[in-house]
Amino acid sequence: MSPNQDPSLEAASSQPEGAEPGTGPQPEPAAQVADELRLSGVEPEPVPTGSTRELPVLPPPRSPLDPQSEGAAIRALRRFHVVGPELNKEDPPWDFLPALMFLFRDPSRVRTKYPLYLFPPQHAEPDNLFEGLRMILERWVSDSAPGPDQARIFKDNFARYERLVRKAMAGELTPQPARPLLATAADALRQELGLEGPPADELGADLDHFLGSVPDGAALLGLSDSVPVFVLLQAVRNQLPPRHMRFRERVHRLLVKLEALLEIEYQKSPESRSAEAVDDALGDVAGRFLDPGALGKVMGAPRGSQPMRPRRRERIGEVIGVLKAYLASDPMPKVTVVHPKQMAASWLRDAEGVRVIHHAEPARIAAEVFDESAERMARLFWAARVAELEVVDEYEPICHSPILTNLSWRDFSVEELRLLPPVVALVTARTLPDRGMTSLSRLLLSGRPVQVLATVQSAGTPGGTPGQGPFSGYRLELGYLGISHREAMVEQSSAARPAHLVESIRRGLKAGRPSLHVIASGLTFGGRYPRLGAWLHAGAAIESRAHPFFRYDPEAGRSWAKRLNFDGNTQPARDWPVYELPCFDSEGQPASLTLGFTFADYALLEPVYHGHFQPVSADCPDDDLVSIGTWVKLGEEELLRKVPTIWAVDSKQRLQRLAVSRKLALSCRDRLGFWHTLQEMAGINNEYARAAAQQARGEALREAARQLDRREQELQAELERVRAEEAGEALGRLASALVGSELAPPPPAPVSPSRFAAAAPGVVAEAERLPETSAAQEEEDDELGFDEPYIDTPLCTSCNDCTAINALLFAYNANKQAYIGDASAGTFAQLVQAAEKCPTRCIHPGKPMNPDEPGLDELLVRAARFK
Amino acid sequence: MFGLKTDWSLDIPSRYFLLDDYLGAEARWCPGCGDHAVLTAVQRICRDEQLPPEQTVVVSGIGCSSRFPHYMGTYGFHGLHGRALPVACGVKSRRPDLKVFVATGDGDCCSIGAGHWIHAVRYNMDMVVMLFDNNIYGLTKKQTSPTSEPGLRTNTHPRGAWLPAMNATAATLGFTNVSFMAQTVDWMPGHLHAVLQAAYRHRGLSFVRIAQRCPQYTAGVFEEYVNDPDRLLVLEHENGIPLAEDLRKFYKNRMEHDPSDIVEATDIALRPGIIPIGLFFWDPSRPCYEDFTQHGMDMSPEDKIRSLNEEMDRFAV
Repeated sequence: MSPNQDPSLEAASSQPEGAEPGTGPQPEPAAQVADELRLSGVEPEPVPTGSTRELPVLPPPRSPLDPQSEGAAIRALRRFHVVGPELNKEDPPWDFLPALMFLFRDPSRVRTKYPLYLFPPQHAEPDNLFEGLRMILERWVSDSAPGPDQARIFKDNFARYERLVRKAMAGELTPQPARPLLATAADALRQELGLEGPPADELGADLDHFLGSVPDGAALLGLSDSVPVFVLLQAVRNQLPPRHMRFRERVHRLLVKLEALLEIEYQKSPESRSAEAVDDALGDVAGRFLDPGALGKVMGAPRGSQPMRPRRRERIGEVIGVLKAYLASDPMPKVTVVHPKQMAASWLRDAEGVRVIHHAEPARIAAEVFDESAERMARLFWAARVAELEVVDEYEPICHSPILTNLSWRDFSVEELRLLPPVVALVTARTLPDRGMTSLSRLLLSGRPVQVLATVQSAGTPGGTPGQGPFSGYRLELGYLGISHREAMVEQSSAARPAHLVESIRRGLKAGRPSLHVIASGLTFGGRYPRLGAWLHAGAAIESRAHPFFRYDPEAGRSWAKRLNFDGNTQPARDWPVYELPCFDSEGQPASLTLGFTFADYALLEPVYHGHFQPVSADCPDDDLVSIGTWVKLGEEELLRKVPTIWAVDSKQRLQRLAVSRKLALSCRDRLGFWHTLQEMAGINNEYARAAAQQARGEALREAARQLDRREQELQAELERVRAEEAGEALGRLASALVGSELAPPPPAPVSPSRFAAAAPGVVAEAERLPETSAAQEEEDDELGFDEPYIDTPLCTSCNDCTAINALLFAYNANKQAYIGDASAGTFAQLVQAAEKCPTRCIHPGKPMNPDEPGLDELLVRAARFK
Repeated sequence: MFGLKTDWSLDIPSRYFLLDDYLGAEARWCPGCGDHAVLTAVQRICRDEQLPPEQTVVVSGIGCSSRFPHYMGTYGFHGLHGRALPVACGVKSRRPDLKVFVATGDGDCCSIGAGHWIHAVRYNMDMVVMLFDNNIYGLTKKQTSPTSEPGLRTNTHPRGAWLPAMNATAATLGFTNVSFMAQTVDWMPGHLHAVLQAAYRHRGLSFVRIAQRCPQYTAGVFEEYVNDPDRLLVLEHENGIPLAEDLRKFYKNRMEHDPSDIVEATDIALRPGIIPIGLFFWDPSRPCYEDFTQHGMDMSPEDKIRSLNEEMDRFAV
């Protein structure tokens, strides 16, 4: 920053915008902010060198104007601030982005986790249902091409390949088979690079190898508002079959035992001794020699065994019937998705294993569907429980019948609940007004383990009526409303963070209780696709606290600290995430701004809010402008005198301050208030915790002071005792020793004469260690045979001496370093000659391949030096 | 994080380059010359960093190594004796977007070009300067150079050079505003590549002295160092240039050196009888001259004429 820079810019470059005194980030230098971020685990990444020229530029320093012009400018700005979009009658060309998003004006240059690579069910693990495409490529590299020179061209072009895969995916809302798409992108990559000859062959082989590693059934899924449903279906397909498999095995075992019981009973009956039964038991051969009728008459009835009571036999028969019916049914129950009609659902109807119901009140219908399904399953669970008791003959009708006969889903165990066919209610902001909200609340209170996926727009208000604007009142926080139902699992997540989302859904499916997943759609207010794409839009909502992450899990424990999880939020201890933005000043000198990413910054991405911003003219005095982060913390009186602003960047990378309307600024304060509530619930900046910590700290200090006093008194007493016993010099030595051992600091460590001298032993130690390795290596090398010629390729200096002798025998790799190309294409004499000429002596001729080569005796002597 | 999340920002160039794209004319250096290794290392760096050939310039002075630009498939400037650095500074000052490599020899840089050497280091413009130090004037057939060891018999000193050899590394470390000083040898291609890559990635003037063998005239000068790896001292540090794992078993003579410590760096550079290799000094905060000279570069010719006229009008009588 130049020394004569305008003071207002100096302030801008040293104060965290949006940082407030309460949570620590007082106005502080950028370096300090960076240090703090680093300590909190948020490592500010350096801007890549290649993009230095893309850095935004600050406006020129402001020249002081006459007070009249300044007054007129600030009055106009205040008028806009108070009145808002009413003054912005014209719709100006809008090309502003939040300053911190300056790099992402072109969404095609942004790497996202999408498309997601969905593992086929047989390859998926419970905690790993999908990966980003980049991870799949990296995994292929570590498995198949770990060396730096292996698959170099393909690796160099991973970013290009990802972009081409995204292009091939364009417009697809549903999972698509992965291999054809990846193959299409591979062809496009070949075409785009336009390679010929060996490099083209190398790339082609690597692409083919990669495509060959993609298993059947793998799919790619792009980012859309249907991602949560697919992730849920994927999780169900992954979790439910193993559970049912285990249950079916258990049912099968019970059936075998029950049928054995009935068989025993049959053996007790007279029918088992009839001529027909005996004949059947004897078989064809024995029946020719024995009379089954006579044999049956002499066979006595079993003694000492009471026949089964008819009621029991009847019950067991009934249980066997139910269990057999279950085993004969479809092993994989269908997922029921209750769906408002407004949502396009053709993709969902076609999904395998899904039953779709359209209804305007999804929550209510989902509860009814669940009840029907639970009633059907209650019969099965009755049978399984009775069977368990009957096989050990512990079924007591008086005790068990009243309970088991009237089994309802409320009596199901957690394991039984997890076997129920999942029921999913999809709700959107449109379905919530009026009865939608009531039925959702009833569902969450009912305890029915139904999954509710609520997609919300971060700028809108869930439950708002159609046509209702974003400023119709305080925002309804659907997740917070869900928490008030106390025993429902509630999670706020986003498809822009798929790992967080899948963890949410996985937990929801595991819990035997209703789960509300509030998920940001990534769409703008009004449901349009954002100009920067859903990934960045949803990411900005997370960063700006417009859609903070949290998970309320009643099964995690009884206290708030255990139930509320706050993971996934950026810099959770701050009001807004704070970053250092590198830029240039108007003179082209490197500068920086320390900025918070506030809700107003996010609002800049929402077209519905565009009228709530107005560029600040150069005439406005800086004293009347404050950052929005500071504004929301001002007192009511001061708040009226200041105009809140944010920093934005236009399409020419020019930084510009924008004034924020009062309505939007108050909305920003509302979002911050909710964020503070979440922070307190998560134990961050909690007043009670802070007071308790202060009290504990004070007590600890007082206790330490008391102990110090006591110890000093003891030492003093000891000193006096020794003084009394000893005299003179001995007494002095003893006192010194006592004081030295208890109070004085430990003796200093020996100081090395110099840093180099201190380092030397390490060097020696290293040197001593290495020869052992080297010796072992040499022994190993001695055991190896060196009949084949070879080249220590990494040592080759590309001097062309060997290739000039025989370009077929000696070839260059992609790094222009020599290796043995075709060993049969040359003579031993050429190998020896090349070895002698090689300046780094990295050529080893081996043994002659042709025993009839002339002059071999002499050549072998010359070659011996290079063995 | 927005704005700085490099992982999110895909910078996909429109073209992809292979090593062949950086090949120029066939190298005519002597068989076994160390220059071949440097040439390959630079070509690899161009490939690895995907530098557009038309955005890359190799500048040289006069000498064997100064034929370097001819062998690169990029733009080049084969300059006057000792004048590689001022030409390179000129290129960089008017076209800061270009990637500049400078090939200069011990005669070219340390003798006739010594004045430019000092000031180019002080100007610290973003470029990679490779000092090909073979201790001899090779192109002019074996004459004593500033870095020739005493006693080396040459055509100009048939009974052996008289003066102590100039220590180019220690000298560079003594120049004001030095920001990157490293040393390597031509017979360790992996290390050579790593050093030049670090030099390329440093913003500022990266000065790399390369001990380079001349098989024709100073064949024995580096022979002992090639045969005895312990005569090389490998400098290591977390901020330094790592030695490849496969070379560690050969090069056991290593020491930890913090490249921000210029005093120790100079001490190491002055040690006799060894060739220390690695990063001696690195300070990325040093100012670059082009940052001060770029103003007005985006002005149109009309703007320039108007500004010039306005300036001249101030002196109108």
